[in-house]
Amino acid sequence: MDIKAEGIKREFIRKMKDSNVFEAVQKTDFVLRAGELTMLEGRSGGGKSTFMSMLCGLLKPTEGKVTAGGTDLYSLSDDELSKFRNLHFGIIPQVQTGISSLTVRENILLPYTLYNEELPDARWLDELLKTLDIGNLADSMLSELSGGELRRMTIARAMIRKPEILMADEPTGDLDDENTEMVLQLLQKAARAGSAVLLVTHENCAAGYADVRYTMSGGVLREV
Amino acid sequence: MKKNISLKNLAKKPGRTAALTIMAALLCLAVFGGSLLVKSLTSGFSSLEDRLGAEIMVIPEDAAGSKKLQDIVLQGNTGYFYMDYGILDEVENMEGVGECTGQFFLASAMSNCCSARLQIIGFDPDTDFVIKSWIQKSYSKDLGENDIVIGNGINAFVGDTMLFYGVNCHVVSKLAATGTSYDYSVFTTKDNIRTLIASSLEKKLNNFGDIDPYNVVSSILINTDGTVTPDELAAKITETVPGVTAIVTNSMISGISDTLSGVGRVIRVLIVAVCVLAFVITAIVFAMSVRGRKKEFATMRLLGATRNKIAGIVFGESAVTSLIGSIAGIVLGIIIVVMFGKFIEEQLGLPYLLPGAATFVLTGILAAAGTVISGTVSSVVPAIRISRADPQILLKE
Repeated sequence: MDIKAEGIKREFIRKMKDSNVFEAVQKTDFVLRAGELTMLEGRSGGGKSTFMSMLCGLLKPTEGKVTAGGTDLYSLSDDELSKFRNLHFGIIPQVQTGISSLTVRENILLPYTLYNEELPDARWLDELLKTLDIGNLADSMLSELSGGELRRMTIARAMIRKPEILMADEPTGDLDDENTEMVLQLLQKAARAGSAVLLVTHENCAAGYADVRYTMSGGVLREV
Repeated sequence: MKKNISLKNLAKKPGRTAALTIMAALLCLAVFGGSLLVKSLTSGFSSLEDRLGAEIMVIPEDAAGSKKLQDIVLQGNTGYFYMDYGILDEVENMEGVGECTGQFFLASAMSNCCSARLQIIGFDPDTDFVIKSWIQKSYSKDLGENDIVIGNGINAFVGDTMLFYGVNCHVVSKLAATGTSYDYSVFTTKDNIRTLIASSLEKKLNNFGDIDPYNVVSSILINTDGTVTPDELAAKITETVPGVTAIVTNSMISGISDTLSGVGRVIRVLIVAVCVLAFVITAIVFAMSVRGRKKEFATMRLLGATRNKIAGIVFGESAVTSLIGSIAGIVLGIIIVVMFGKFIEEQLGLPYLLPGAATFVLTGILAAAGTVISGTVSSVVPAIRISRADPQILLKE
């Protein structure tokens, strides 16, 4: 499933010297293609996370439209859009978060249990846990995990549905080199399996895994 | 899973859950316990009004002065006084008198001749229009020689024999609870109580040593025939019949009525105050609890939870704590109202009659429903706020 952004831009009201309107993302077109790992780099505050939020239906653009597999995301109701995101998107947020009252396993399965759906094949969950090296932590509570382990849990949670669209915002920010490599390989594998993968990162080594590279600075998107 | 998340969230934070549950229990206890307390007092008062059953009471002048009648009727104290039986005939024939009957009092003694210290009230089966009607609700036959009917609070049963001044009396019926001093009284006919008075005189255990037990009466109960007001008739009796005082019963219980309405007002104000306080505290605790979990709710939105689902989780938590709290509040309310009923009655000095099971159940259901609704409403603002918030902003905060 491709994601297509047509003429999207995003403004925020912010008190500044010369204007009260801050243009976080300037008007741009973009396509995130299925089967490709697209990398988006840029300095902090450049608009990358805002851009990603618009692509996954979490932040309505001030102008333009975003379609995923032909569906105009922002024409959907909240219920429809939420269900669409649940079914087709895997999102790894910049911040490590989970539901503290649930175990690692329950957190990873949350995309299914939110809608009381039948759980996936246990072998797939085990494989994911093993690949991310958190197999022995499945029944642990989140408070018992290290930062790196928590990060890997959020990656497993985003990938459990084998989503058609995978968006990762700095997924390797707090991982060591070995785990960084492992996560990048996993994202690349997902792309090879047909997912449209957007990787927002500062990691130089990530470039080697990307099929397409973009940079974003001052809200302007450029292909590298 | 939504329900599970709510339950797991509650289990994960036992301190917060306990605080919310206690607030709900307090709210429910205030509504349920307070309502039952007011109902019990009101029922007790109505029961007392019914039991007095006459517009006017005529008693000896000195008994009225020493408030003996009020002590016997309202406070449940034992006591007796007498006046000449001829007064009954005199009053009966006065203009404006409709129904008219005599009552006879005797207090049993704390000695070997008596089973217990109790108030004994005699009535005339031929003319009575007060006691007979409610005795007949539990015993439809006429009372025979030395037959007695006992109040609900007396520790004896139908078929038992009770000894009063050496006379064996047979308990033929036990009355339903009234919440008044009558629950601790013994009722019998004019003839039987005369026998008991005579026996008390013989044993020199009666304070009125020089009376003829067959020619005295303690009080005369009167209903007007409608041509005069109770006040007018009472004034006329007091004025024309020497040595007696006629009391309008409404005036006798107006003090209780005033106290009751005052106590009722205080209880209602307390109910409202506790409810408001519990509601505000619950709302604050919920707001804090939701604020502390912003990132968790934002994560659920990322994963595809709808706004309604997020709000549902918050409502689920508030509904569960409110429900558990309301059950605890009802149990606590029953314990206080039922077990400490007698203590409350003594402390307030007011008649106290617990309502029936149906009222208990209905009040409980309404109080629990009110608590759950109130608990859920208290979480509306934080639930709406968190469900409408932008997840990206929440994650950054």
